[in-house]
Amino acid sequence: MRVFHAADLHLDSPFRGLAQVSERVAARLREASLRTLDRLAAEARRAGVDAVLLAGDTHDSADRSVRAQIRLRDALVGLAHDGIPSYVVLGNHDPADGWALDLAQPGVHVFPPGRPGGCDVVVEGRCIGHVDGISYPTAVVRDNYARRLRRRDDSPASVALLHANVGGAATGHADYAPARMEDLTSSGHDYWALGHVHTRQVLRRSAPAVVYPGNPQGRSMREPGVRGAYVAEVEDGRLAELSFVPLCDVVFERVGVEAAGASAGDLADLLLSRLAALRSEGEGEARVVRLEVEGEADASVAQLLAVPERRRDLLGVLREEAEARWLAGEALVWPEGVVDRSRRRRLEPPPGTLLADVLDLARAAAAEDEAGAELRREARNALAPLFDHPALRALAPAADDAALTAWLAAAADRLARALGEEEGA
Amino acid sequence: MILRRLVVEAFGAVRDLDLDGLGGGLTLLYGPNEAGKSTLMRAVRWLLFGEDLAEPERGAASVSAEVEGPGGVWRLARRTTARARRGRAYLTSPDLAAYEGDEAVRGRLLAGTTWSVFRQVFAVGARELEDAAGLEASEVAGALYSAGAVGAADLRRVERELEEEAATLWRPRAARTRVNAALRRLEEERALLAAARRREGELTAALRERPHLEEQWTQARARAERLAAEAARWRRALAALPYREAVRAAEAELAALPVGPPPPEDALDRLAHLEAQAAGARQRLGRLPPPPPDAPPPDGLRARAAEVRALAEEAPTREAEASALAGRRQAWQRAREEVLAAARLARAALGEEEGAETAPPPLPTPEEWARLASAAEMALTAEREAQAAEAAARERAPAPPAAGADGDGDEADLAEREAVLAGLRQDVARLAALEGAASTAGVGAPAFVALAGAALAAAGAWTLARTAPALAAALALLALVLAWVGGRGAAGRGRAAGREGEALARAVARASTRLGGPERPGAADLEAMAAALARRREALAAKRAWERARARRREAETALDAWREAARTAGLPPSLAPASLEAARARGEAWRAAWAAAERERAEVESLEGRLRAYAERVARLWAEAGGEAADGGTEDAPARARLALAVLERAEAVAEAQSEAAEAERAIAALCAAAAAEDAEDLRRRAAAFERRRLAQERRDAAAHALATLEAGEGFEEEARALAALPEGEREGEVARREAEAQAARNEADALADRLRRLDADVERLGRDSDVSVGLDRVARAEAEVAEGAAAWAQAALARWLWERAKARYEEERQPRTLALASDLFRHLTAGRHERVVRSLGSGALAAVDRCGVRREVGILSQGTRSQLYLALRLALAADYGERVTPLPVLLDDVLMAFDDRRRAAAMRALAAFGREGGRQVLLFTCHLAAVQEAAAAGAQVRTLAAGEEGEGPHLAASAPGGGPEPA
Repeated sequence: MRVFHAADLHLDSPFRGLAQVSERVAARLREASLRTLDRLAAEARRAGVDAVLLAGDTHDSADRSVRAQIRLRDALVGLAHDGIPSYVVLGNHDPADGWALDLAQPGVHVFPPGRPGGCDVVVEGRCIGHVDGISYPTAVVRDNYARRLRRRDDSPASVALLHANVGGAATGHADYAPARMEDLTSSGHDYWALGHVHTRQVLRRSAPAVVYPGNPQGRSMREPGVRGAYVAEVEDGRLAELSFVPLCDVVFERVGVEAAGASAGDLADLLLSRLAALRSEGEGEARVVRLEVEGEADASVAQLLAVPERRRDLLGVLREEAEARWLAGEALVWPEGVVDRSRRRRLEPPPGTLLADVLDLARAAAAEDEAGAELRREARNALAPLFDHPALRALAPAADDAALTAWLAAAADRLARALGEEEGA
Repeated sequence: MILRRLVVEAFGAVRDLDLDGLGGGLTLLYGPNEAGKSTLMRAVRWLLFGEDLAEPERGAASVSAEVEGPGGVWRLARRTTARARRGRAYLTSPDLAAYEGDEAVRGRLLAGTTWSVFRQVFAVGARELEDAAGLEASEVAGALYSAGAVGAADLRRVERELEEEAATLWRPRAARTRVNAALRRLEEERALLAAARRREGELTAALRERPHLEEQWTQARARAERLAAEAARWRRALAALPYREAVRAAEAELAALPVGPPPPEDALDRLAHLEAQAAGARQRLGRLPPPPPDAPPPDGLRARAAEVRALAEEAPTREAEASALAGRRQAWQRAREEVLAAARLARAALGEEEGAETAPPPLPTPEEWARLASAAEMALTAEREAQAAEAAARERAPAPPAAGADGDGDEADLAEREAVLAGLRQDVARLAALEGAASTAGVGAPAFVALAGAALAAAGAWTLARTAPALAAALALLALVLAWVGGRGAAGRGRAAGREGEALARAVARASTRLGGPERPGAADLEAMAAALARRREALAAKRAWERARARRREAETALDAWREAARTAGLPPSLAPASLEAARARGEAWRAAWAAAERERAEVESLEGRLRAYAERVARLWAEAGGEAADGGTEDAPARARLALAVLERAEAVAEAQSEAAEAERAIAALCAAAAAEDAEDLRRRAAAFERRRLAQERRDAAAHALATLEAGEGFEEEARALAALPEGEREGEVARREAEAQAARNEADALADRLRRLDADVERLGRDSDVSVGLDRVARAEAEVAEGAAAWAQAALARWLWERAKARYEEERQPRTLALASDLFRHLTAGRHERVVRSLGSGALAAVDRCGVRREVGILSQGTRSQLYLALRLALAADYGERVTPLPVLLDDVLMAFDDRRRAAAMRALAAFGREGGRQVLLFTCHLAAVQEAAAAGAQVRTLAAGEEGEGPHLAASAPGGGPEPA
């Protein structure tokens, strides 16, 4: 049995963390998840699969996008019309009690919530496999659903379809339908088609194969790179083929920009030329990039990037150019942000001066020792108004140690600039 | 760093100054006012930092120095360039490596020291010191931090920038900060999203309900169809009621009507047509007029019908001809009269005798006419020329002169005489001139008057010669007398003229004699001679004119003879004058034309008369042959009789035709009745009417039956029909309409459901493409990102402030107390032990001085001198601190001791010398006070003197050895 295994489509869920996006570009980016769905259907047809498996979180119930559900239903009905049945389980983002349309149509099988269901996959009157699955009745499922999915038939290929976190809370993912690998290996199934974890990973290749395909379209800089789904072929109880199929419409990427020897005055040109190079690379796919300035750059580079308003102005120039180029027919490469990863090339201020004290403090706060932790605690207190604010608490970026250290470094840079280290000097 | 040598090639007013041999410790640079001390300090500042260029120094500047720095002696130079007024710095290291630019100087020589630090701590003038003294306490506190890296103004600026930035980004209750604005926008977007979600939520609910809705629609549609079918059946049943009634009525009528064979097809139409035909024929007979009484019998005419018609047809033509005949005859008569008139005129023109109306004689041909015209023209021309010549001759002489008459002279002789006369006139005039010349003075008035009178008289005689010969003669005589009188006088005087006059007189005499004049002709003689010659000339001309006239006359006669010959040849009377030729030709031609016209008219009249006569004869013959009464056969009433005959003929034919038609119709009617087995026409009509009623009744019955069948359409509605029939007639329509309304309502309901389904599907279709929720989600996400970005920016700004405050606090804790301790030590020395310490309030940061009695005074209430000493102490302490922590730099003080009294100045000099001796420091003190020189020398300082240059020169160094100096006054 040959299946197309995808999960976590999060259809029509907006991209996160993109500010200052023009309406035209936003409209383009908004279509990304739906275009990914279209690609999914096209690739499934092209791969000649016997079934499409969707392992939960096809859309976000909380977002209440009717469009996503309609497009999903239409896509699956279209596949069914072409003889490719779909098997769908619901996950924590699209549970059965969520706000959803009835997806079930002829050729589209949605597994029941909270209890195992099973379907034979029949091709030309012959049963070539069996799919078992459980949908989430509610958003929060703490039961181990994997244990309930036991193989009960002797079909040539047995697949379990589930939205679950395998491996416990240590994986860093919300621990829904928590399962242990032993639960899976003892189930008797040949292939575990999982969803929930957005980074694709093959936990086991055999007896049984356990696969997370990841989400086929990243939604923020935290989900970078090319994403897609798997085509898996199960023959005689073993995994005969497992191939990755790229599907994403927009790629999130961190892109290094070598700025050795550059000063603040060179930065805009440097970034623009890097963006131009990115546009000419690849196959014209849309990209959202975070430009990371690297190398031993002049202190003025860090000082420029340390001032949010100036960074914003710089980004404005880059985005204007990106949009103009895109409208002129080139690939869309949208600069999400510019961050400073350069090694400072600066004259160290005389020891004992106020500026030296500032830089010393910033370094001390970044240290892993106790003094550093104490300084960070003090610094966090300085940010208390922000994190005490009822509306901003949820929206402000997390002030974890890494963020705090970066902010302090930037603050030190801007103080250095303010205290007499001239730009471009 | 120690400044060893300073060379100022050009800097403002200072030129070519070489300050060599400088070293560590205190060096006093003495110079009077305008010696260039302050300029020199600015030159050092400019050399090191490229700053502090005052207006007078904006020209080309070049300063260099040798300094002892890290690793040995460095050479530093700065020169202005075309592009940089702050100049370009050139640095050479002890190992002779070359560097350029401020960054190199700052990094390699000044250990990163900034301009603001140097200006505030190391190079201080009296003004800066005073300015610092006037600062507020907080700013003084700021100056303390400047020992670390920055100036007070920089500190304030940084703090203000950080505050402003944080405030611009976010304040919890502000409205216009970036984050607040982004939050507001986020709220708006969320509200819009919520609204879109509500709308799409309703749509989703509807979508969930769609199967139910579709079921409802299916049921409603089925019910609507059923009710519509029932209503249609009721409607048909209602419509069928009259047809049922019609079938019944038609069948009853058929049963009542007799049954018989059908009459022949169209029998009634044909019968009516035949009866109308017979009646028409009879009516035409009755309308015919009675036959004319004197016409021939109709039968005779019918036997000659063709001829009658031909004659009648011809009648209008003949009548027209008869009426035209009289006119023609008159025209002929007029033509004959015209012939007579033309003949008369022609004969007169041709010179023939009058005659009767006759044909014109033969006339010349056109060629002959041309020849005749030519001959006539020649004769006429010759005649005109002869007459003209005669008239010209007659003008000269009324009659031809007789042969040998006056004037019949020789032309040559006459010309010769005229020449002689002309010569004579000249000679006479010459002679008179000669004589006049001989006796001009002696000419007496009387002689002159006499000659003049003679001349006048002669002129009058000439003038009147023709008009009044007698008077002219008298005047001529008078002229002669007067000429003689004058001549006597002149002759008398001429004798005196000489021989030439005599010869001339002789010639005059000869000539005059030849012309028949006296020997000595006077003016009158000359005029008389001239008149005689003129008369001869005139007579000769008249003779010649008459000779020409006679010749012309002869030519005219010859031409006339030629014309007469030509006329005769052409058959014209010879007496015909040439001038009459054209008239004769015209009239002859007119005659001939008139004759031809008259002939044509005659032929026309004769032709008409012939035709009319023949027609009358034919009519008369017909009349007679048809048996009419005899007629005279006159031509004028022949057409009328032809017409009468035709009228009689046509009436006879009409009678016969009508009679025949009536009889034919009667026969046909009889045959028709016989065919229909009717007794007569009336019987036939009765039978046909009965048959027609049956046919109509059958048709009605069939049509109603057909309509019924159509209404039933295979589906019976007997029940409905019965029910309707049972209802009163007025209620039947209401019953059906009620059922139709019910069906319509059901249909409307089904349509409304279908419409809802359609709209739902359209909404779904639209949503599949674009969704407000989708857009709203995206907008909210972007607004959230905007808030997050703003919040992150605020966090950075807040952290920068935290960092700043934290560093400042550390500086205050760790650096400042040390500086204050050093400042206190210096302050004590500068005030010669009067004050103990410099302190700084922890709360306000204000500076204060504590004297040796422990009394504390805020800096604001200190005397100016003490205040200056406090700030000098502070600066020296900061410089010492900086020197220890960073690098020692030369301290340049320009006239900072101005407010010091003598005692404290001496103490300050000692303190500065002591300060300079420690830690490789260098203090350059500029002063204009001579007393300071001695005090400095006493304190062991090096003293250099700057002398003001001559006018036009810059300052220069006076000869002064290190350690030496001018003697105090």
